Amino acid sequence: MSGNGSLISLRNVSKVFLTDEVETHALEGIDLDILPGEFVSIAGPSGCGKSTLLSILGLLESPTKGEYWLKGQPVHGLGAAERARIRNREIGFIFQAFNLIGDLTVLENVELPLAYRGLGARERRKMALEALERVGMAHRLRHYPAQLSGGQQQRVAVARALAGRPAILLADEPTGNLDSANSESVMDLLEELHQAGSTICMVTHDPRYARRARRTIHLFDGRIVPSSQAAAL
Amino acid sequence: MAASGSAMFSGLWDDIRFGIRQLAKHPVFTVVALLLLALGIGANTAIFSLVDSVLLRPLPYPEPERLFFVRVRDLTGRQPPSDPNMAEYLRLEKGISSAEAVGTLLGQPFNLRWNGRTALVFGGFASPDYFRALGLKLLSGREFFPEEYQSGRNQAVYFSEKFWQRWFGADPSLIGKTVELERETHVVAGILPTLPGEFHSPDAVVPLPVTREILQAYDRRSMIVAVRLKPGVKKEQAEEEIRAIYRRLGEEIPQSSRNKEGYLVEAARFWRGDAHEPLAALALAVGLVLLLACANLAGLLLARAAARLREIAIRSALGASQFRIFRQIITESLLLSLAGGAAGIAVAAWAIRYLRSWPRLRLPRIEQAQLDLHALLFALAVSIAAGLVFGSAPAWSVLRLRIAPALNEESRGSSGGISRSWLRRVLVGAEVAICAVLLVGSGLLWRTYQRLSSTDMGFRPEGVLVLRIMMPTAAYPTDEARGAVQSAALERLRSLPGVLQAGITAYPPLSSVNWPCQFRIPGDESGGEMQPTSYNTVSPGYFAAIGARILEGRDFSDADTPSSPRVLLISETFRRLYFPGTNPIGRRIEYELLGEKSEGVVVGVVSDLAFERPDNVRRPVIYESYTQRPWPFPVFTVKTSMPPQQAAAMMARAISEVAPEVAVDQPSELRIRVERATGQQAAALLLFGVFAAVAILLSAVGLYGVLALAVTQRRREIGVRMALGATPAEIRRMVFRYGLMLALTGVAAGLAAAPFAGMTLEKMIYGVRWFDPAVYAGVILLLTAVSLGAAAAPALRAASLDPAQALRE
Repeated sequence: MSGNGSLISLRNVSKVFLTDEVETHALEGIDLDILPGEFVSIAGPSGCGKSTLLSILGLLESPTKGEYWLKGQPVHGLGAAERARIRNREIGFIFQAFNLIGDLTVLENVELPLAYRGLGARERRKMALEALERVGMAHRLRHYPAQLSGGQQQRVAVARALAGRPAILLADEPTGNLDSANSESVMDLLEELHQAGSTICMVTHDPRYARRARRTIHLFDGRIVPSSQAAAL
Repeated sequence: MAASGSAMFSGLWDDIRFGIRQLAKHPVFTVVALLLLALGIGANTAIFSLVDSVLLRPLPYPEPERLFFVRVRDLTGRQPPSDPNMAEYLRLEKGISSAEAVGTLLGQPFNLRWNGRTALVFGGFASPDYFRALGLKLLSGREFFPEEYQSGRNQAVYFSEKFWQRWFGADPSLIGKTVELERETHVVAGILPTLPGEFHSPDAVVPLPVTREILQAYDRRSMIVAVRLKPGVKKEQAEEEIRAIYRRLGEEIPQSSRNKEGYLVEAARFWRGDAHEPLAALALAVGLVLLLACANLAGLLLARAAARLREIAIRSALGASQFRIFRQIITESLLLSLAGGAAGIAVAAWAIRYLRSWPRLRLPRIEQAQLDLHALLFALAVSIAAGLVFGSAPAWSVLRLRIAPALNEESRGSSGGISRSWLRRVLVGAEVAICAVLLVGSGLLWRTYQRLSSTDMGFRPEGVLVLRIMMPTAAYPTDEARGAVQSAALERLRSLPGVLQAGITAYPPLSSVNWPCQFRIPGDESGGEMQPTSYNTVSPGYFAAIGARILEGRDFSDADTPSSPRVLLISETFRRLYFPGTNPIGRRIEYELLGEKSEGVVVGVVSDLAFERPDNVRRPVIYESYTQRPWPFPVFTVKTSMPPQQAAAMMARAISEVAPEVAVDQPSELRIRVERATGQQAAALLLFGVFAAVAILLSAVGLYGVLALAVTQRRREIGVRMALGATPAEIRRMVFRYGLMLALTGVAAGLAAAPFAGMTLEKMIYGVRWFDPAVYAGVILLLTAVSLGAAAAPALRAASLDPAQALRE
């Protein structure tokens, strides 16, 4: 099943939410492969299931139906503890709202996933500093998120995603809360990371940024549609 | 959730550091939480240290499980359990084959003279095997020699360690020196270790000389009988022997031992008495307060957890396992509870000091209560338990978090979630329920205290001073000698400035002394059978001094002398029971007191006087006149208009002037005796009341918090309702209804649980049923009012909402 060399393989994945006895089909029969080193964007209108797909890829949600293979291993049936372990080692998240913890300094925020991995303080600090150097934020180690601009916060969030050297970076509207100058800067950073070998999967509704990925997957009403159809929709 | 080995502790320091930072970041919350915990943990630690010293700490005897005391029950159920008398002891001493040693202590006050100083010492006569039965070793000195048990020869005395320190300045050379006891020379043979229990720890002990005179003199006096069983012997086995002894005694000495049965009481139970009753009540109160504080904190932490959902979601997204999230929340709770515990230790140290010296709380070994290792370990255990209890609710609530939606939530802190709202409602319900239980307890105690305080005790204690003296038998061997000095002392007291009335009694009201007396009324329809009654002897003027009323006939007078016919007064209850519908004045009563048969004529009826407890007034009592039978240990009672301290000093001085040989006890106020008699109820009431007030405050705050949050969360819904035409009054009613529903659910649960509290307090409430409708109705009314008060601010806020703005949010 996963012998095609894909880093990520989704097969016939569906996600149904049940709220107040109403079924909402967020995703329907998704088949998707992402190869190592790819820069993929997921585009589509609001409510099409982009974020749900990213949550499933990031093991924050489990599919209702279908299979999910990560690095050749099935992960769709894993329990919460194992999903947390894989999330920590293999996946780096970049969120639209940055999602830095306000009570932790820049350095502590970046060290956090490494702490959950059980690394020692020295190693944690070394890896966190490296990541912060890569995003140009090593001069703000002792600052708290509230003391940084939006662009700087997102750079720190990228550093946190990178620090653990994950197999894939998942970015959910990474420019959604930024002005255009900072958005460009963050996109430049993601491109740099991609060129350095990182696999990136980014959700965006902005076609300008979607085009900066090497491949764009279009979602509509919870299904993947061909690019040709997407333009018409 | 599974974690093992080093993974379990990995990152723990990070959690601790973050927890400290969180506490520092929210100083108001932290201070409030610390105050709550300090109060809860401190109160529990203080009560634990009392329980530890009074009930749990082992007695200072070897193999205490083999040590028992003999008590005697009245098979007719008319008399309370008592101690054996001399005749019974002598049979027990020889008759229990399963005992290793049987010994007795016969309580007796002594006049002590040493180096020109006199003192009234409470002590007793000990039989040869008493200390062997206790297994007690002297701190210093030697055992009594066999010949010292022979009356009048080479007399010796032991002093208690406490008395030796207090009166002899812990002089190590005292052993071997002589002192004067009852005007007879005694050599100090040894120092006894401090024994538990105020009433069983004699300050001076002399050998019990088993002579015909002593046996006669003390024939009917009750005494402590200690039994040490042989190793391996069961209590039931020895009790079987004791029952057989009493069956034989009933046949041989029916006048004193008929319908009586001996049984054994474990040493620990014998000494602690009913001390566990107030302690159980206090433990219940402080335990409930701590639970309430935990519920309150859990509610606050749930609200904080709701505000931290995004942070928790981020941590989960970054790979924190559920165990790590759980541990982090619990670590924060434990930090809080341990800090609260540390503050609680300071509260406990103060509370222990206060409770130890609180005159209303008189418990054996209470003076030994201290903040020792036991108490500190208890405080640590309670702190950890409290942290786990109030931390688990928010910890479990965040474990149910769905990460993805929480990460995308824009409005931080407003996400309640159905399960968390439900938990908060349950917690507030629990707080109100605990509050209701405490209020019911307070109500029952209040009703008891009110009843005790409003009971007509038959006397008026205001301005009455009580002073006991001990007249050495050697110095005053005859009734005439004693009578002359007592009369002179009484006259001297009456002449003091400010003294309105003065009299003498064998024991004042509210004493638990009970001299076994039996009587019969010649010509009575009961067929001349002897019946038990209480007895006292009082001088002319005694009833006037304590404010008792002569209902019929006359009081004793100085004309009632030893040579004139013996006259008696009877209590109101005696008259009602034994002279119903007839005039008792002039009737003859035959009675037997301490083995001596007498006969007297009733000259008056006096109002009932409270015995032991203020509400225990309906007892048949026969009063003899002190002028006709002067006991060697009279209690002077003086009604004075002077300030008590000034009058007390004058009284003591006046008696010493008249009778320099006589040891005088410290005068005390009768009012204090009344306070002490209601002390346990008053103490429990005061503490329950304070804790109930704290509980009301906490419940009101908890209810307010839930309602305020509900209004915030339902702004949009309220906006829609207003847009659809709901008036502000209807919105207000909606919030009040919600608050009342929450509170009344808690009240219902609390009232359902209240009978258990009532049962715990059962021994402390008198004349009130544990289901007292007035108390229950009062609690419902009070908590309804409190819940309406707590709902007022959120209701007004909801009603003043701008619907247009709420709908735009």
